Amino acid sequence: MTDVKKGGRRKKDPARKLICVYLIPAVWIAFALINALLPARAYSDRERRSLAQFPSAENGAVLDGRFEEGFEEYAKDQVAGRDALMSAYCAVKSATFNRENGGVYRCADGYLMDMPKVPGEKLPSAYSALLRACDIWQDITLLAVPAAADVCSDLLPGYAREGTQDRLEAFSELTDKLPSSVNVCDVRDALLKAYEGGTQVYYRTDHHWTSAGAYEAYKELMKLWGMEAKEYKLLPVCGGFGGTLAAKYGTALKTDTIDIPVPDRMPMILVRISGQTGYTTTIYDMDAVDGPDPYTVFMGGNYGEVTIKTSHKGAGKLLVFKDSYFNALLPYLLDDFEEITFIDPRFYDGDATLLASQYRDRKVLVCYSRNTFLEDNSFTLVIEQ
Amino acid sequence: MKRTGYIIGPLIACMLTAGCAKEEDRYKEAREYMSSMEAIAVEEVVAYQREQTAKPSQTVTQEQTAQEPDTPEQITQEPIRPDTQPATQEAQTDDNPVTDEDPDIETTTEEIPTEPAPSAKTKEQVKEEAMAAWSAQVAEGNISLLSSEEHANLLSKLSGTVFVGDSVTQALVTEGMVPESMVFFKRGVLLKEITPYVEAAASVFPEKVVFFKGLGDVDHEDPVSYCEKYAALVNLLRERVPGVKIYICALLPPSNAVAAAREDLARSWMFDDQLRAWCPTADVTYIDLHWMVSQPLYLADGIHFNKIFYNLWLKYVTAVVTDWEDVLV
Repeated sequence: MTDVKKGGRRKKDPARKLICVYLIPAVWIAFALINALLPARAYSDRERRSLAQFPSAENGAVLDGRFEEGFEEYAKDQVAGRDALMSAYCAVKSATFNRENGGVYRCADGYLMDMPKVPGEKLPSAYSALLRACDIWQDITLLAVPAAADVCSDLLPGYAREGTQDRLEAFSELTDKLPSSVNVCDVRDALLKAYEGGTQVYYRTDHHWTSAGAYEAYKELMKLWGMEAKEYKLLPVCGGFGGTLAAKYGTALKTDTIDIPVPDRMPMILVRISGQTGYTTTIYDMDAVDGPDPYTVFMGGNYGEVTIKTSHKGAGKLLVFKDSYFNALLPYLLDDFEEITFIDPRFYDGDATLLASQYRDRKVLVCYSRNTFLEDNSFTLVIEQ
Repeated sequence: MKRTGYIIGPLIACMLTAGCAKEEDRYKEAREYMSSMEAIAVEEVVAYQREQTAKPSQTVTQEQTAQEPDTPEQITQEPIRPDTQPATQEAQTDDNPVTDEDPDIETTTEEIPTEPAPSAKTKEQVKEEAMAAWSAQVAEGNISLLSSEEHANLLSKLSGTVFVGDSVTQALVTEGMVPESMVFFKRGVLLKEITPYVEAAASVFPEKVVFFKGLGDVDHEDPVSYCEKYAALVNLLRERVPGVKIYICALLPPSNAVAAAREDLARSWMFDDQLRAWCPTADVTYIDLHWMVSQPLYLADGIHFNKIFYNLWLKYVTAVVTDWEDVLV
């Protein structure tokens, strides 16, 4: 009961006044000042993505709503303490048995998986790029790597397993439309067989395949190309790996070990990365094993163009259009080709006409995850320049 | 309780440390492998790869030698090697019906010893014919542009070749003639400033280096010091890349209009003459480009050249650095 003074007026509560009049506004003002004064971050290590920047108000962006949309994204991405707030949010979601967060499903055995894309009615732009590539090169192989959800679908929550077969069939129908000059290396069955045999072919909390998974694809490629697959020893290089899916979901339930494949003999290679001077003699980045993304131990990440010269003269030359999945496959190919050039169209800024002339007589491999193949348009931008 | 804590605490710490150490041991072999790979010297790999490149031709020769006794029919049908004539004639006499059916072969093989070495003469002929064709194209203003296949052919021949220079070399990239990975340039760079780019070129251990520079140095040097600076760069290259072949393109004059307006640039012929005289003394190949210069091939600034020029430039320079093997006219 509140105290009532004479005349019916409520006696003022000093504590309430302190909180409502001073403390809460002070917190809001302080929060606003911190947000205003903190410099905008360009990239989030935790979420492994670029963060939205302050939008431009030019060219009618304010009137047509683009500025407002951009500002909303900017405000969400640049809020002070975002990482801590995200962690708290994910912890609450996990505690309330919510099996999905940020498009990532919590699966059995500590796996996190996002749903693979489904081919739409419209042909993806990478498909058109592949057709254009057929005009330039005679020997093209497509290796479209299925996502974990398409191989280890038994780990998905029951309600998320629906549609797996339809997705696989839709992708097969898409690749069936490719001209016969394109060799399609379908590795799904090989990955499934290995998985069912107890091999871990995908990382639990990262969208990439493991080195063991990449080896299965290597064997299928060699079979397709009529070449002998070599044997490799897998050695662990680091543990505690929580990848991109852990960043999206909010936490890693279980972590993984990253292995690297080691051949019988040390490869004697010269690696030249576009934009960098000189050669190196390794495809590994030692510093990455202790960094925020240990998967970048393979090549240190993605570059526009990399050429590797090996010591196997006369063994043929390979040109690869790739995404990051190829980085784990690369170590297996060093013993089979004289020269390997791989291009990540997302970062390639060279001359596409020159590309066709420079690498005209090569065997070509297009190595993408199926999601990248269905969504990415950078391959088209490079090939159709 | 306190004493128990003194024992259990350190015990747990030791177990954790041992666990961490064991964990680190798991990764030791892989990390040592990666370290070893990184530690290999580039020079060592270059030397090893060149050794491997040299091996297959020896292997092929041995294979051919091994095959010869098994396939005498092939030998009798190859009217090429004067050294094998006695063997082929013997094989024909003994068993081979080919001799009875093809008497022309004997006539051809008799003529071979009198002909001079075909390869040297052929190259000279090739060179003469190519130069005549190209000069005619320049005179008529009808230089043929490279098709995609021709371009690919030239680029494959230029494997192991890099280009160093200033904006006239940069144009090789901007005109889409060669990939940027083959070119080491800085717009406007002078010979006295070009050392970092030469070092960068050397870092990829090229087999051949072609210098192509413009008129920038004419304002800053005299002809003698111009060649001295080239000499220093050549020495640097040879020190870093033993066995490298070095080519220096002629210093081309400005257009007539610019030469009339700029006396300083008009004296470029003095630098070029000095360069032409110096190159043979330094075992450097001078590439004479003057024959391919015509006024329509200049850009509006009268100093740089257009894409048509570079099409012909690429054909010509490729022919020179490949010693006129299989020239694309």
